[in-house]
Amino acid sequence: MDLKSILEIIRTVNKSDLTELEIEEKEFKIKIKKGSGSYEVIPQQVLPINPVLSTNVNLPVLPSQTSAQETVTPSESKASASTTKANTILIKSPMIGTFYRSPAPDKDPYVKVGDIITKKQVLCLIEAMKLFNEIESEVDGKIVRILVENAQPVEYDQPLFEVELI
Amino acid sequence: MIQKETLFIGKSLLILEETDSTNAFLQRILKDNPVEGSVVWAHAQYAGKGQAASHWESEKNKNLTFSILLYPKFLNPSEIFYLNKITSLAIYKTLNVFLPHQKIQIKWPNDLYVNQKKIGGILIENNIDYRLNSSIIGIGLNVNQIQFSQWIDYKTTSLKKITNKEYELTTILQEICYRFEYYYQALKAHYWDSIDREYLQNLMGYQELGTYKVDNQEIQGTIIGVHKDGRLAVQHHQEVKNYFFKEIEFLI
Repeated sequence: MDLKSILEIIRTVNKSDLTELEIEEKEFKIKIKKGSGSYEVIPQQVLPINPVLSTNVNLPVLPSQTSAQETVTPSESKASASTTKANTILIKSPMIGTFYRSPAPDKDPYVKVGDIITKKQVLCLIEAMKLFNEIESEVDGKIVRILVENAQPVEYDQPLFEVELI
Repeated sequence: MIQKETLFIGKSLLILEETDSTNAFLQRILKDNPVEGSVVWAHAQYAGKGQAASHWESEKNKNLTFSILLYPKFLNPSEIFYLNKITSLAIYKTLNVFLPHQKIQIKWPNDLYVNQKKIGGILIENNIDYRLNSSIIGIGLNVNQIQFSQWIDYKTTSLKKITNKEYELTTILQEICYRFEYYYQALKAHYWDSIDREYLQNLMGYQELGTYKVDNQEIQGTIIGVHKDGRLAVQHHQEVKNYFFKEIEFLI
C-alpha cells in the first residue's frame, strides 16, 4: 500500500464514526485509533523477492492530515514500549500468554525492582500454547515497577514493566 | 533412500555426544550469531525439556533429539504459533514417509501421535523484543527405543515399536530438515491458508466428536479450528469456545 492510500484511509476514518481501524495485508499492518489513540504503522519484513515493496518501512506520521481537535500521539518506532512519565517507559506484552518472572520455578527471577537493565537483556518469560518466549528489553534503564504477578495471564499490549531510561 | 538436499536447514550441523538440552545449547551460543538453519543434534540429553517440569525420556543413541535455529523476523509475535504448525507438519510428513500405512496425527498444541500413541514432541523457544529475533525449534522423536518407563510405555511409541525395524537416525533427521525447510519457505511466502488447511486436515479431533476435560468436567466437543494465536476452537453443543493450553485436556 502506498502513502496516498494510507492518507486516504486516515481521512476516511477521521470523517467516520469509527474509533479504531486495523488493516492487515501481506506486507504491512496499519492500526488507527481515534481520540487519545495513536497512529501506528508496523512495518513487517518484506520478502526479498519483492524489493519494490520495501519503501513502506518507517512511514512518517503526518499530523497535518489529522483534524485539529484530535490529539495524536506520534507513533513510536517500537510498538511495545510507550512513554509514561518524562523519563520512564512501559514495556508491554507482545502477545497473550502466561507471564513468568523466572526461567523455571526453582530459578531466580530474571529481574527485580531496582535492577539496572541493558538492551537485549531478558526480562521475563511468556508462555503461550507451549511456545516459550523470552522477552528482551529494547532499552537501557532501571526497573521501577513490575506490573504483573508471576504466573498470571497477560493480554496483548498489557504493560509488564515500568522502566526508567538511563 | 535418496539424499534430500536442503538450502540452509541443517547445512550447519553440530553433533554432540551429550548435552543438557539442544535448545539450551543453542540458546547459549546465540550471542555468536550462528547461521540461520543451524542444527544441533545430541546423541544424549541429560536435561531434555519436555512438558513443563517433566523431561523428555530418551535412551542414548536411540532417538532423535535436535534443535533448529531460525531468525524469523518476518513473523509478528502474534503469529508465532505458525512455527508450531510448520514444525508439526514437517514431522508429520516425515512420519508418513517411514510409516506409510499408520494413522499419524498432530495433537494440539505440540505433539505427534501414531495410532493414538505419542511418538514425538516439539518445544519452541523464542527471543522477542518488539519483534521476533530468534527462534529455537526443539524436536524430539522416538525412533529405535522400544521400551519406555512403565507409567508411559502404554501410551508411547517409536518407529521401531511400530515396524520392528531399526532406523538410521541421520536419514530421518535429513528428511525432517528437508520437510521443515519446505514449510518454513511457505511461511515466509505467507501461505497462511495452505498451512492452516494442511494442519487441520491432520489434526487429531478435527471435525470429530471427542471427549475433553474442561474445568474438571468431561465434555463432548468438536474441534472446529485453531486460531492464529494458537487457541483451540471447540464446539460444545451450539457454543464455540476458545481454549488456551492447559484449559482443555484430551481424553484419549
